[in-house]
Amino acid sequence: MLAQTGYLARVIVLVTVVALAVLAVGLVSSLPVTIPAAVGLLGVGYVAILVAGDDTLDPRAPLVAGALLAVAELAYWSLELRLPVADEAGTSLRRLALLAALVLGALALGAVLLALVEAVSAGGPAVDILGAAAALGALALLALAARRTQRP
Amino acid sequence: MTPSASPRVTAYAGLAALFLLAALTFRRPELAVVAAPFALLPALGLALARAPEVRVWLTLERPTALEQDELDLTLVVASERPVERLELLLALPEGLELGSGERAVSLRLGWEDEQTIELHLRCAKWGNYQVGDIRLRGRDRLGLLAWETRLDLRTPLRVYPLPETLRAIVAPVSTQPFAGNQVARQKGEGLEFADLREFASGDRVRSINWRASARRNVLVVNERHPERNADVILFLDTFADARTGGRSTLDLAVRATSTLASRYLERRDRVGLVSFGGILRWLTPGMGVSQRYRIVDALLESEVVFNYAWKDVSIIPARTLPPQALVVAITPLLDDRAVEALADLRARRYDLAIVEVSPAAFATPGKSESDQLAHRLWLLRREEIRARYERLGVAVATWSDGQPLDGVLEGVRAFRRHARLTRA
Repeated sequence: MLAQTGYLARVIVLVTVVALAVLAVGLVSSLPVTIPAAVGLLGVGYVAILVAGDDTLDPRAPLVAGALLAVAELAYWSLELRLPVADEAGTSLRRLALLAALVLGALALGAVLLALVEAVSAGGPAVDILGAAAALGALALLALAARRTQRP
Repeated sequence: MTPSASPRVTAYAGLAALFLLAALTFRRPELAVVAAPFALLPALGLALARAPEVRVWLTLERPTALEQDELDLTLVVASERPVERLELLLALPEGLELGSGERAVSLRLGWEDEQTIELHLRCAKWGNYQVGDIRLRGRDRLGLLAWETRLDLRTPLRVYPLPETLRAIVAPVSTQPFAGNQVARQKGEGLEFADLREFASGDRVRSINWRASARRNVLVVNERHPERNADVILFLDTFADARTGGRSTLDLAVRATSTLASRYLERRDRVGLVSFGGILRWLTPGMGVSQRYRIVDALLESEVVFNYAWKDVSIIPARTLPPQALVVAITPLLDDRAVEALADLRARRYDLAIVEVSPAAFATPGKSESDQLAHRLWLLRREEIRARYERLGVAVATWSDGQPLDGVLEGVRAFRRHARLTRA
């Protein structure tokens, strides 16, 4: 069991290092496509922690959600700052405030969702269908975004 | 305005889908909690986003300027609805630069807001420009959607070449019958003393030189040179130019031609223009301020157009080259057609002077021995062309960038004085 935990820790560290390396390469080379890949890899590390742990709800999930969102937003902001556009005074402060609001919103949303899950504690096919519908909804969002990106 | 989604939208939706599928696969609701902000943010962004409605006005300080002048350019941006971030880029044509300020700026507009952007344009090179190609990009509050458009607010701007300092210009050998500032070789009514001769019937009493008459014991009158104008044709060679970076022999040639035109017109001479190149353009000789603007406007259109057809002076309309006109050619002597055309003009007894805009500074020799040999041979060939003109009695002055044109023209004047003495 101890050996299994040590192996898992090494895998998590490796995944995290790879994620940070991908993020660093993306930021240095100004490649926005690497940002979701890096965030996804960091998420994979969290999945590994959850899978290896017991079945109780992890109260750190909202913090992880907020942290991943903050990493992604900061990375995109870093790329946007490289555009040769002179910002008017106060732009950075407003962006920082927006970022803080988004992270706090993610924390609050996560906390509410966790509380709901704990209160309902329902399982079975209904929850599975709900989860699948949410995943499909995310994919529909992708399609909508792609359609709005298309030029007329 | 054309909408486009930020890469964040697809990235966040993809991450949300990934975490939700992982939540289902591993039956861990915590992963759905992680997915929630990534799903909610693009959904909110797309639902709340509204296309901005922005109006832009452009004002240019004045429609004309000289090279190196700085002009104020004002952009007024107004919007009925708030725009969280509006990026505005002013695309400037080559030859215009920003003296101060940024080409791309971002603004935040509130309800019924109006903002003014002050920019300073620096006119780096002469030319006819259209200023006002503006690209706009508005972003929503979350920065997930952008709307782009291109505004055509083009306003004409004419940038005239910077005049060179000239104290004296090349005087023509022959003058025309109209009054001007050039002392004619003929004798007549004028200010400049020419000679003495015995009084003849019809001479005015006021022209009697009483001192000379007293010495000679016979009535003697002063003869004078009249002040006349001349016909001057500026011959601009546009067959080819040598170019390095933003500088070219054509730029220098246009500047010299514009300066010479202004100076000759100030002397009440009739000045015409022949732009001899891939496209032939001409202006018949004329006088006055309007002719000056006509010439400068024609010069602003000057460009090198490649053309393989052989051209000689016979294609130039006859009235553009009046007899006894002084032809001042401004040429880099790079194209054989221009070289032969000038020799042909001399053969037709035109009074010709050549200002050679030296392309040597624009052509640096290569590093290899053969390249350097080729460069030396090219320079020798150029010397041979100059020697050929000098044998024909044509003054050739070589003008390089940074050298005063006045000094170069002094060389032409000295040659022509020498040539005149030889002829005498």
